[in-house]
Amino acid sequence: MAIALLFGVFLLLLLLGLPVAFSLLAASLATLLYLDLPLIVLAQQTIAGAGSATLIAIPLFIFAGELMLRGGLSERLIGLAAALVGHLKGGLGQVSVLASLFFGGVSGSAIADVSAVGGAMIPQMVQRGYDRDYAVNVSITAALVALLVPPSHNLILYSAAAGGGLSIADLFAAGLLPALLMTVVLMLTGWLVSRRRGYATDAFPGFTVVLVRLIAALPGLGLVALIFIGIRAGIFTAVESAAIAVIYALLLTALVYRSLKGPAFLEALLGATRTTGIILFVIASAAVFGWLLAYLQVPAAAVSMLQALADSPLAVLLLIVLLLLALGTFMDLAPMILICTPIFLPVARAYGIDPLHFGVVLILAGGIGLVTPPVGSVLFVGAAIGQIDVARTLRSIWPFWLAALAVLLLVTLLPGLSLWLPAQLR
Amino acid sequence: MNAPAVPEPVGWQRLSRQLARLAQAIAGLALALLVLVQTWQVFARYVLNASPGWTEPLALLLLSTLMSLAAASAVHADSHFSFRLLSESGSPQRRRWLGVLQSLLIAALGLLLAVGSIRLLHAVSDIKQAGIALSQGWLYLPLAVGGALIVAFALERAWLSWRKPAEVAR
Repeated sequence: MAIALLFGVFLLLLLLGLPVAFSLLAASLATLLYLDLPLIVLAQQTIAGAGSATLIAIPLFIFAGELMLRGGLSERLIGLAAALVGHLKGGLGQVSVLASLFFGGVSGSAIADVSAVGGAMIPQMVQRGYDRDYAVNVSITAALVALLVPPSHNLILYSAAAGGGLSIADLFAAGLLPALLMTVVLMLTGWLVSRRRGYATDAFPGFTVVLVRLIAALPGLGLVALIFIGIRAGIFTAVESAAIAVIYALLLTALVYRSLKGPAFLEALLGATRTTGIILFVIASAAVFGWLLAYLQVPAAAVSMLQALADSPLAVLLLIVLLLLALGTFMDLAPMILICTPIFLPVARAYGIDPLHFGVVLILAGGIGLVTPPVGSVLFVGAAIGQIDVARTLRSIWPFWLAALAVLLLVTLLPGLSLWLPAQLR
Repeated sequence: MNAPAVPEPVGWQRLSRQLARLAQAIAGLALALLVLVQTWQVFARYVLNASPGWTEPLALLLLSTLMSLAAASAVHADSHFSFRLLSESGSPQRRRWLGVLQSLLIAALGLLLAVGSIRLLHAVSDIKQAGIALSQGWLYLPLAVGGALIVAFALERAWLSWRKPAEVAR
C-alpha cells in the first residue's frame, strides 16, 4: 500500500502539472504520514541529497559550458565541422551533427548543445533553402550525442544516483563509442533524407581551410581532452577537473578569443545558476523519495517482479528499456536518472548486467525522451529556434527518431560498445 | 508593431521580484565562490603539495546555498521542470483552481522544509564540522531561508492565479 501511495501520489501530481521536485516531495510526505515516520526526514534527506561531494562537479561543468557557449567557442567548432563535412550531401545538416559531437564534449548538455549549435545552424539551414522541419529535426536529434560525451553531467548524476561507487572516468569512457556511433548513424540518416529532398552540396574548401579552422577550434577541443585524460589517468578528480574546466574556459574565452566581456560573463554565471539550481533541487528531492524506496525495499520488489516477467538478462534489459522510453515521454532526463537508477540498477546487477552498460542504456533511452512529445525539452527548444510548430516537426522526425532508437537497440544488445573502451583504458 | 509593454509590478509584487533577484544574485555568488574554492583546492594540492581540509565542507555549504536560493527563485519564475500538458488544458475555471492548489501545495512543502531545517539547525548547532571552524547547523541554514522564500513566492503565485490567472499563465 505504501509503495502504491508513493508512486500514485507522485504520478498524479506530476500529471496535474506540479513541478517534478515538488511532486517527489509531496509523494514522500504522503508516504511518511502514512507510515507514521517523523516529518523531519523530509528536510534531513533533502539536505543530505545535495550533500554529496561528487555533485560539486555538476554546476562547475555547466558553468564551463555556458562560458564556452557565450564566449565564441561554438562558432569555431561549427567552423571546423563545416570544413570537414560541409561538402557532403545535405552539408549543413552534417555540420550540425558533427558540431554537436564537438560541442557536446565541451558542454555535456543536450539543451546547451541544441541552443549553441542549433541556434547557429538552424537559421543558416533555413536561409540556404533547407526545410525548417529538417533543420530542426537534424539539430535536436544530434543534441542527444552530448548526453554521452565527457563531461556529460548526466553520467555524473548517474554515478551519484548509483551510490557514488561507479568510477566517473569509466562512465565517461563507456559513453564515447555509443556517442560516435550515434554521430555516424545520424549523419547517414541526414545524408539519406537530404538526398531524397534534393538538398544542395557545397564544394570542399580545401585542406588549408580545414587546418586553419582546426587550429582555431583546437583550444576548445583541448578542454575535452584535458578533462578526459586528467580524470582517466587519475591525475585529478571529477570535481577538480570541473574547476579546471571553468578556469580554462574563462581564460580561453576572455584572454585568447577575447570574445567574453563582462555582461556575457554575468549572463553565463546566472544561466548556470538557474540551470543548476533546478537540477540540484530535483536531486535533493529525489533523495527523500530514494530513501523511501530503500525503506520500502522497492528495488528487491522490482527484482522479484521482473524475474516473474523475464528470465534472461537481455529480456530484462529490453523490458527496462521499454519502460524507460515510456517514462521519457513525460519525464525530464535528470529526474528520470535519479528515480530509475535506485530501482532498476539493482535489477540489472541481479541479472549480471554491468552497471556501466546499464548507465549508458538508461541515459540513451531517457535522452530519446528529450526529443519525444509531450515533454521533450530539447524538442521544444529546437522548435522555438526554428520558429516552427512542434506538430510539424513531428511529422518528419521519424527517420531521425528511428535512427536514434536503432542506436539504443545496438547499445543495449551489444554491451561491448559500452564496455570495451573502459576496459582498454584501465 | 512593438509588443505591448509589460506593466511594472507594484507594492508587494515588486518586493517579491526584488527578493527573487537577490536570491538569484546570492546563488550566483555562491557559484562563483565555489569555482574559487575548488580552484584553490587544485592549486594547493598540486602546487603547494598541501591539500586543505576546509575546501570540501565549504564547497558543500556553497552548493547547498546555490541549490536552495536558485530553487526558490525558480518558484518565482515558474521555471522548475514540470509536465504541463494536462494542467494547461480544460476550462479557465479548472486551470485557475489547479494553479491555486499547486501553488498552495508548493507553499506547504516549502514551509515543511523551512521548519524542518530550522529544527535541524538548532539540534546540531553545538557540533563542529570536520575540517572547518563552523557549526553543522550552517549546513541547514540555506534550506531554511530557501524554504521560507519558496513559501513567499508560492503564496504570491497562488494569489495571482486566483486574481489574475492570465498573468501567471505561461
